Amino acid sequence: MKAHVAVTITSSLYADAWRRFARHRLALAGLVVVLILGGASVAAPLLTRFAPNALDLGNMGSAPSRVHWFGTDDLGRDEFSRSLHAGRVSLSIGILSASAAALIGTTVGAFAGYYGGIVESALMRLVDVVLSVPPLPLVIVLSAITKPTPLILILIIAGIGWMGTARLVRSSLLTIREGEYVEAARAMGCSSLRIIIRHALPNCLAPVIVAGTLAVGNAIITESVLSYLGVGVQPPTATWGNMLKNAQSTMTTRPWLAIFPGLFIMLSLLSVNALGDGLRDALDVRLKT
Amino acid sequence: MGTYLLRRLLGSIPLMVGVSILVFGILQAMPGGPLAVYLDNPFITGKDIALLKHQLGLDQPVHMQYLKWFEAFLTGQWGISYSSGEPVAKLIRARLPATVLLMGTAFVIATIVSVTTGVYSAVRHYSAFDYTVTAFSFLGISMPVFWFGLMLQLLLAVHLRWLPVAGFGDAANIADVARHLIMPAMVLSLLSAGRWSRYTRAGVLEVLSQDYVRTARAKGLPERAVIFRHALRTSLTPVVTIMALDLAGLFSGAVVTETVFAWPGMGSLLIQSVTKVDYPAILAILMVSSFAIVLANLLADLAYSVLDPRIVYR
Amino acid sequence: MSGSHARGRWFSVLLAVAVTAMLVTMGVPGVVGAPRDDEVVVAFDKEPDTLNPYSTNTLSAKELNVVEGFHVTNDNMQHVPRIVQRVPSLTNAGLTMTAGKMTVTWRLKPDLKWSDGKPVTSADAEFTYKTMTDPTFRVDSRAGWPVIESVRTPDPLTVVVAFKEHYAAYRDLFRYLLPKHVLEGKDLNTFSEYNRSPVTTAPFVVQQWVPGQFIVLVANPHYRGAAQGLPRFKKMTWRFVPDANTRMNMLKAGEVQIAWAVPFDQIKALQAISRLKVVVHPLNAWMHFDFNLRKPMFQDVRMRQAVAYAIDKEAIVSQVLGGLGKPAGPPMTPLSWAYNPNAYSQYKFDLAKARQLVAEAGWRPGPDGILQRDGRPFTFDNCHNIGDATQERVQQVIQAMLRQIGMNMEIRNFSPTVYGGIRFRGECDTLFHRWIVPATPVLSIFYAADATPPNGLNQVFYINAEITEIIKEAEGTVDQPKAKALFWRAQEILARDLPTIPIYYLVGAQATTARLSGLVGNPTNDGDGWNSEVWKLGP
Repeated sequence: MKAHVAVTITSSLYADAWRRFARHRLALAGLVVVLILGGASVAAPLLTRFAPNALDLGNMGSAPSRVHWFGTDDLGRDEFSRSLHAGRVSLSIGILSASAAALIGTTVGAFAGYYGGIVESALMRLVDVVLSVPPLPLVIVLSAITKPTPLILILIIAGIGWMGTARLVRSSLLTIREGEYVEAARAMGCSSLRIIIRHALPNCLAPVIVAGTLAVGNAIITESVLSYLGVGVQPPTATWGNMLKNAQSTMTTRPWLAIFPGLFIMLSLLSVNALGDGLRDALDVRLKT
Repeated sequence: MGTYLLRRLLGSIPLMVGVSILVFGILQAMPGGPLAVYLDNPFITGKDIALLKHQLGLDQPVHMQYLKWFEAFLTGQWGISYSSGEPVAKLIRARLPATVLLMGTAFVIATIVSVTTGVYSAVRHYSAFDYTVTAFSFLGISMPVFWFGLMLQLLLAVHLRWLPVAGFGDAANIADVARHLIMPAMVLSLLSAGRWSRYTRAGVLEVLSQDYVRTARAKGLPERAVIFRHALRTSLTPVVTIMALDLAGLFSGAVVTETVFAWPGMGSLLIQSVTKVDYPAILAILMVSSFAIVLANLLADLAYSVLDPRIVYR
Repeated sequence: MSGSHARGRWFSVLLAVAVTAMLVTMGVPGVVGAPRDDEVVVAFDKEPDTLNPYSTNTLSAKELNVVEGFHVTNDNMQHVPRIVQRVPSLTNAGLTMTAGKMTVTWRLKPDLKWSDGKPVTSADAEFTYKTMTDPTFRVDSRAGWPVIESVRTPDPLTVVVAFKEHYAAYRDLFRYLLPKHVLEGKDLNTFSEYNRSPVTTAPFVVQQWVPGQFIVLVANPHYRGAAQGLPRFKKMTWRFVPDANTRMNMLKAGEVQIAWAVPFDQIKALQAISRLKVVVHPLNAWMHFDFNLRKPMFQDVRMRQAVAYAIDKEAIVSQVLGGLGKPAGPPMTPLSWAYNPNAYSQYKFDLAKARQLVAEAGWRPGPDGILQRDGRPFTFDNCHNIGDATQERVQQVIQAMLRQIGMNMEIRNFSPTVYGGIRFRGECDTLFHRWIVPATPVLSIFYAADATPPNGLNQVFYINAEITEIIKEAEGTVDQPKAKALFWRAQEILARDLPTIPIYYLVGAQATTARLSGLVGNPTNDGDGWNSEVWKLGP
């Protein structure tokens, strides 16, 4: 009976949240753009005429034309196709590292918040320690000593982004811990894990989702900076970051090679940030703008 | 509050110890070890490498190496650079002022820009100004730093010749250094200015709708006094925390900015040291920057307590 | 609404102040004016770690031309004397050979002084030898020094070096001379006074080194060429600018007169600017496709031959490099007297032949075009180090070319710190790599059977007794025609066994103002700054 009531309340809460979200024109635009970018990336093979790695040495560095909508790059590859396929890599690195960071952070925060005592102290000290090291320098050192596969990149980027979520989850669990229904649940025989997952976590879902969304943008930028410094995803796989890097030296003669990937990065960041902002307003009643 | 701060201060010590363990441990994971650069060189025999290991103390067990290094580090002996043979402390002392200058200037620019635009757009929210500021702050958050830096360099230095392309300038000539500082500081402040502007706006908006502000208005105080005397202090507290947290971000941005503008700071020193696998230098740079971040967080807590009288410390 | 008006006014005042401040600082003249004609500013890519030429592992220390020794190799790969009177050889009696041993006699030029005024004597040469054989001195390379049996100094200008065996690369020894009166008794690894500002005989001395920013060099007051007005530049400022685009921007803006290490794809654009020029010169270096002969994929020589026929070197040079390079034959450049133009000439671009060879080896294209045998696809990896965009592009073109005959090449690139270890341990199936070598021909470190890592650079793990003996004999033969025949034979064997396929010979490029003359470049690691004493700015 109780569960049934809870479900009804939750669903109308979500409807409420959606209405608040929809009022935010910027956030709506962000959502739309994110969906378009994501969809275009996923559907990249269908939308593009040329393969992203197909060389055309006779047609290197040509300007945008009717055949090549975004022009061709320094090896004659179609820039439009590469941009879309790069979206797959950049966006998935962004989403996967943000998700990994959220997962790690939630786990750490949950353990710290639920068990308290020495576990909490130790874990929160760890969070403080990692937060005290400047992230990009740390990432640079890490990438220089590892092999630059996408998986390792995702792990490294996640490794510098989980701390905020851990703190969020732990502080939200702090309040729950004092609550009575945890006592009740334990009295009913629920295991600790079950209590954490079914009762405690849904409460901090909202800020975690918001933080995770914003973290996607951060991860995309980090990937592009790593590519600029040469330790990102390796060629011939295109990412927006390494396309920018290759375009750097011909910025004056072939500006389109730098403009399009830069534009894609900015667009995805803008929309992700707008989306995150909107989600924050919609989901978390306490934080108002 | 004094005891709280004292406790925080003491708590920073195990924090720095934790950082040192983390940083040292990461470098130990390097494949090939600190002598990896010599692997490429056939003229260095196995005997040479063994001798080198002994000279640098690398043939000892890891925890011994850590303890020796940490102890020396505390007494100001930050080791000798593997590549140049110079004391690392000397290297860092030479580069630190440039980074402090760059980050400090960027901080000031970002603060001025973000506070003024944030307050103004909150006061006139949903106006054209507000939307423009919002757009620019989003842009600032979303633009890759190196891209912006290169474009600015192309426009202002190469095409218009208004500013020098890169470098530090003549150290004896303040105006020259200032000219070289403008672009990198602008680029570095971009991301922070964007973020802080939004936080300021949010904070001010929230405070402006509070009861005590409405009371002040009802009392007939001019709008300017309302904002400055009552609202600003409290609305700035969340922004101050963000500013301290963002110090880590400023270090990150500084690494790229210093590379693009050949600014001789710790960021470019880090890149150089990583390329040469100069262990002592990498360790020292990470330690120094972490210490600065810990310090900044402490100062932010202090500022927080001063700014918001509602905060009570247990 | 007076409050908001006041806010607005306050804001615009702040804006005005900021703008004025900017204008004021911009208006004040800085150091960006054009320097005098006897001074030059260089945008340099890497800060040296130390100026001690024997302990540094970066080229940048040598390019500054602040250290020198007996000889240098010039832009034609000829050894020319610096502080000695002539280069000893069989024809001028500087070199005497006995059964199994040889003796080289050098005579220093008279009245030479160090930059601190003290005389240069043969004792400095003996000191250099002792230092190079001292195991506690961390050097970059001890090559050749252990072959010396003894160094005698019968008079202050004569150095007699006895070798334990015939050593053809004797002219590369004493490339830099260390001053005994400054360094004796010091720990060279940490003696900053010398490492930051060497006492030298070279045309330039260090006046100031601001870490992270620049090094200022001034003319050596005791330089032996001072009577001829050398060096022409009295002051050289080498600024450290790691970003290549920034260096080019500085050159375009007139802030520097020389921009070091031009990215290849900017050369054409820079040449189009009339007040700039790009000096392009051949390098004694080549890019090559190496096979790891320990790994299974390319054990069959027919598969290696197929790769050689499938790579269109001409297309790579003309289209990807824009003509800045030369299609390669053997692993030795045409600049070298030991170069065999016939070796590797059989491998002309021929896709049909390549396909025929893989078919003979038992590989057939599968449904996706990739070769298959017994259900296994022909997939292999190719490793390279990150850092050069042009080379990465060539690597991708090779990938596409090999795909045409059904070979699936996977690119795995690594940062330089990790890459050394990976090559060492032979982790990759193939490598895409660059060698740059000194003027004296050398093949043993790359292809001798006892030179596999860690004892050498034989990263192809090529074990062949015949070629090992030929190469060793060639490098021990001082008589050039005899040595040449041996080197030619070695290159033919390499073409037959194909452990490596050189793709193209490299060129180097420096971008300068069109007014600069004298910078001709240097094919070897003696660096493009080797003759900076004759550089000058014209009208």
